[in-house]
Amino acid sequence: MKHVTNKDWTDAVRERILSDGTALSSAGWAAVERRVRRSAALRHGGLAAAVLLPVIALLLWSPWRQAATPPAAPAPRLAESSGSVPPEPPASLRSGPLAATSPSNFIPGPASVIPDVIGDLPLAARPADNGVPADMDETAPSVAEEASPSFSGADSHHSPALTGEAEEGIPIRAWDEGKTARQRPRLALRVHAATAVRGVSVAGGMLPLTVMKQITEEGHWIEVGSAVSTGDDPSGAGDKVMVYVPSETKWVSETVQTPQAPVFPMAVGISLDVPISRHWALTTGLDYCQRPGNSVYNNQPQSLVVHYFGVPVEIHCLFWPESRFRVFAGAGVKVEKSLFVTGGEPLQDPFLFSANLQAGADVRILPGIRLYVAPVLSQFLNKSAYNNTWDTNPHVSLRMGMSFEL
Amino acid sequence: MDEQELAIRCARGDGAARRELYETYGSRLLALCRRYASDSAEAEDLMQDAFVKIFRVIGRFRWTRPSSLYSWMARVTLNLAFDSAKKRRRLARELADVESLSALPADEPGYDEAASVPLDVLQAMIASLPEGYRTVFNLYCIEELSHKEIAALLGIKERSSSASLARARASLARSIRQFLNGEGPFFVRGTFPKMKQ
Repeated sequence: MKHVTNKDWTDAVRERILSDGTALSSAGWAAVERRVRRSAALRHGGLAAAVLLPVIALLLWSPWRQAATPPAAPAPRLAESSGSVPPEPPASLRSGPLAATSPSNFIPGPASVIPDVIGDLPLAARPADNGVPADMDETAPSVAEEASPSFSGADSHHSPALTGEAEEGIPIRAWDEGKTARQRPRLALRVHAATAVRGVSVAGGMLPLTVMKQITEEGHWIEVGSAVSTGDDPSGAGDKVMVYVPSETKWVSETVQTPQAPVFPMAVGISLDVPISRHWALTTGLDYCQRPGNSVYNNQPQSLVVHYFGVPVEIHCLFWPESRFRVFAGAGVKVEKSLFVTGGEPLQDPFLFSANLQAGADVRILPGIRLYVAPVLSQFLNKSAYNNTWDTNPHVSLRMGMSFEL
Repeated sequence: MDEQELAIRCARGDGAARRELYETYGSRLLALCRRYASDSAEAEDLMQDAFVKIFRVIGRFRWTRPSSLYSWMARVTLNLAFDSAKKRRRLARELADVESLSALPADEPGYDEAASVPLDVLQAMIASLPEGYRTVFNLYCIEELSHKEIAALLGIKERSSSASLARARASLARSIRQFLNGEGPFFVRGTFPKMKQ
């Protein structure tokens, strides 16, 4: 925009056109603000999806999932512990679908020892309950018979997984040997939505703020008494005596109702569940959340959106831990720190501590992936520097999310 | 709050600064949008879209001189107004149709003569130009873009932009001259005083 026009008739046209003021509609700013918020939400949602989708894809199609090869380790251990070497299956059996599997990978044992990949084999080649392929039962009974004594051998307690004693204590993947399914940590990706139980509504509402206001009192006369007669001139007796009080400027406090920033209190987080027993698990992670908060800056009330990062530590009790649908309850504490604000100037905000109780349920939708929902009742233990309804009232939030078994 | 501070605070997401930016420049941007939108609702929509984009990219604004914030905002708005490929194709097609506006040279009015034409008459004269010519005229004469910038914005050649401007100027000059002479479609006897001196 750097061209220079000569002062000709088009300049007159330009000046006339630009002199025309166009009035903005009263609802214009509200519409722009709404659009800005929507656009930001879409952008953040897209960003979150862009980050989460590869993670989900990685967890769903990760190499260790695909490479569910039969564990090679238990067989030698079986041989060592029992002191007897199970004979190799006859050559005729090796011509079957399992022939590609080396003898050392052939594991007599409970069906669950056999990796998932066997489910893809023809029915005849699938192992029976004793771990022997169905078509081997009659043709080579010696395999099962000779292997079975080793299960009850003196050292069989070294490999309980092979004995079938522990229904849950069965390693599924080579790298995970020795860990049961319930002992593996679960990576839980969470999305929370929060709303206040009482107090003001979540988006909007007014909060009282105390601001200092400077007022100037005009100079005025006040009556201080009546004049008395002095000596010879009694005429002034009884007149009012007035004193002039000059104008004065002073500060007074005033309570003003300030609207809360129209933002939906939303939290997202990532957390890690670490099982400590069959029913109990510890959870920790990192949460981000935004909440409205008001403050006074330079004696001006301001409506802000405060952005917090927090670390929760919770303990959960799982009911029916192995079933597809589970119920859980938990309690915990969370420490939060406001890192930045939007819509105004930040204040020095202390660490915020809160305690919470929750109960929820989750359902397995795919192997290793669960969806969960849990209402949470929280109470802050100290007050924020920002005026809000969150740290004074208990509030309920609804956590929803997805958890991935690592 | 000066331009620089306003832009910095808007980039930080300060709601009060954003509102101030809207209230300071909204009216001018709305007027700009009206010049390139088909109706007032579309203009309002365009202005709101422009502000959403401005708030998103204001971190990239670099202050160089007084009023550079408005120039930058106007440029963002113009880019948004002409980012539709369909609209650009329609304008380019219209500008290629050289027969739609006479290329005859006109007796151009002087500065004072043009300044004496009432605003609503001027607006009606500009509005009566075919859309492509009106767009080039507005971009060059009102927004003060160069032909190179207009060509890049509309996806046309520079030569096409200057030829279109010449035709638009000639047409507008004829309309103004007719009005000043008390003739033509924009002069309604008794409504406007005769401007001829």
